[in-house]
Amino acid sequence: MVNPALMALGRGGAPLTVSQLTTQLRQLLEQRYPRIAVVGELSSVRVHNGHCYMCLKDNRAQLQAMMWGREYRGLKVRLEDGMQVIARGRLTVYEPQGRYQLTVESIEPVGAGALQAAFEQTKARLLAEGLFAAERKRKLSLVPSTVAVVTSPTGAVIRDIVNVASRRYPKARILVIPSKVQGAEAAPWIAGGIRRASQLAVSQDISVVIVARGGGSLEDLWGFNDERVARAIAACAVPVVSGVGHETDTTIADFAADLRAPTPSAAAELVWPIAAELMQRLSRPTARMTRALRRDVTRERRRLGSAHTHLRQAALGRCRDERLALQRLEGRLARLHPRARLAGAHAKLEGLASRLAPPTRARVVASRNALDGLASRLAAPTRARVVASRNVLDGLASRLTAPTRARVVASRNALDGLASRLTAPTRARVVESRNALDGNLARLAVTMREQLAAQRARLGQVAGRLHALSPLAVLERGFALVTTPSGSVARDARELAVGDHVDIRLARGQIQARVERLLPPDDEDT
Amino acid sequence: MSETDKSAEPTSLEAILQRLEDIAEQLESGDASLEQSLALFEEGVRLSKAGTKRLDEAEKKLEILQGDRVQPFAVEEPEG
Repeated sequence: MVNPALMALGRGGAPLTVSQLTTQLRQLLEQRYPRIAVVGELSSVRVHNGHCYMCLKDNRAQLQAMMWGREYRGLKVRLEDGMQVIARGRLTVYEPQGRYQLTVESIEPVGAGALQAAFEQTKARLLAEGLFAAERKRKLSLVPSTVAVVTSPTGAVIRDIVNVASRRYPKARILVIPSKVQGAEAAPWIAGGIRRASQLAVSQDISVVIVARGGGSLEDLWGFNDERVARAIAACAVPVVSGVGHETDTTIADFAADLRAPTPSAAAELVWPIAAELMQRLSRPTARMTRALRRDVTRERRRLGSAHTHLRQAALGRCRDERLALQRLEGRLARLHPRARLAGAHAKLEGLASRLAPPTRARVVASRNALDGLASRLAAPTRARVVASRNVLDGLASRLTAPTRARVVASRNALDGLASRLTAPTRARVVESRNALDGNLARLAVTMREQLAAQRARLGQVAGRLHALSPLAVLERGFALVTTPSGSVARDARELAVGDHVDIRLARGQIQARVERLLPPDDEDT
Repeated sequence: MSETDKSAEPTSLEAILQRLEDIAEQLESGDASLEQSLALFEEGVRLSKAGTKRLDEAEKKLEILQGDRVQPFAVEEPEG
C-alpha cells in the first residue's frame, strides 16, 4: 500500500521541485518493490568501472538494470546479450537521470533448474540401463601406446595434458582429436571424436582415450552431459578416461568413463606412468635374481669341491694299500735273497769253524771269503732292480695323483667361469663334467691296479732269475765248485799244480781231491 | 615346464613385470635346483631385456586428426 501522506504531497498545494518529486518516487518504488525477481532477455550488457550495466527486455518492454562490481565479480555465469535470465534485486530510481532501474543482486540463466533436472533424468536412465556399472569399467594398460585426446586443439587443456605426458613419459604418443567443448552444441562433436578414436584404435595403435575440458559453468560443460557422449564412451573400443572441469564438477561423461579424473592434468597422470619408475621396476628383479643365483652357484661349487676331495682321498688310500702290499712282497723277496741264505750258511760255517781244528779252520775262512765275494757280487744288481721297481711304483703313484688334482683344478675353473657368466651352462653340464671326473678317477684306479699287478709279476720274475743265478742253484744243475789250497775258487788249470789238494763242492756235500793231471787251455782260448 | 617355451612368455609390460617379480621371489626362496634356477634366471634376463627394449623403442609423437588425415601437431604457447 502507498503511504497516503506521500500521495497527498503536491496535490493542489505548493508545487514540488523535481528533486522532491524524484526522491518521493524513489522512496515510493523502493518501498513498493524491495525484493523482486524479473525474467527477461539480456541486452546491451556492458561493464563500466567494474560495475555491470544491462537492459532486461521482453517483446513489449525493457527495464534498465545494473549490478555493483562486488556482486558482479562473484557471478558464476558470464552475462551475454540474448541470454534469458531471472534477475533478483530491488527497484530504485537513479535520481540524476530520473530513470528507474533494477539494482540486481543475483542473476541466473533461465533453465538452470531445467538443466539440472535434465541431468538427473539422463543420469537415472543410463544408470538403470547399466551403462555406469562397475563391471563395465575396463582397466588401463600400464603403458599406453597412442593416447587419443578428444578436446579443443587450442588452449590450456591440451597444453597441460601434453606437458604432463612429456614430463612423466618422454616417449608419449598423442593423437589430438579436435572437438568443440563449449556448451550444449559440443555434444555431437565430443561423441563423434570418441567414435573416431574408436575407429582408429587399431590403425593408430590407440590404447586409451582421454575426454577433456577445462572448468566452467553447468552450461559450459553441458555437452559432456549428453546421452550421445555417454553412449559413445560405452561403445568405445578402448578404455576412456574423463577429465572434465574442476574437481567439484561431475558430468554424465564422468559416470560413463572407465576411469574418472578430476581434471585434465589428473587424467594425463592416470594414463601415463613415470617411465623412470618403470625402468627401475624392470631392473630391480634382475639384481635380485643375480644375487640369488650367485648364492646358489657358490653353494653348488662348495658341494662339488668336497665331492672331489673325497674321491681324491679314496684314490690315494687305494694307492697306499697297494704300496703296502708291494712292501710285503719286497720283504718276502728279501728273505728269499741269496745273501740271506748265504748269511745262514755263513753262520752255520762259523759254528762249524769253532768246532774244527786250526788247519781246517783256515779252509773254513777261505770258504767264507769265497762266499763273501759271491754275496757282494750278487747283492749289487739285485738292489738296483729293487730300487728301479720302487721308482716305477713311485712314478705311478705321483702320476695317479697329479692328473686328479689337475682335473679338480680344471673343473673348479670351469665352475668359476660359470659363476661369472651366470647365463652359461646348465647344471646338466656341471653334472656331466662331474660324471666325467668320476669316470676318470675310476679308470685311473683300474690302471693303477693293473700296473701294480704287472710290477708284482715282474718282481716275481726277477726273484726267479735271482734264484736261478744262485750258486746253490748252479750246483743243483750238476756243476761243482773247486777251491784251491789258497782258498780261492779255481777258474784256471794253470793256477794249480799236480799233487795239489782241492776241495770240490757239490750241491750236496764236498769232495776232497788231489790233482793228478793238469790240462792247460789252448793258447787261443786264454 | 613353460620357462623354456618362449612363445608362452608374457608380452604386456604389466605381465612381464609380474613374471619378473615372481621369478626373483622364486630364486630368492632357494627352493629351485641349480638347473631350474639357471633356467629361471635366463627367462628373467630375457624378460627384463624385452621390457626395457619396449620402453626404449617407443617413439614420441604428437599428432592431430585433421578431417581424415593424421598430421603432426604442435601445442601453441600461452599468450603473453
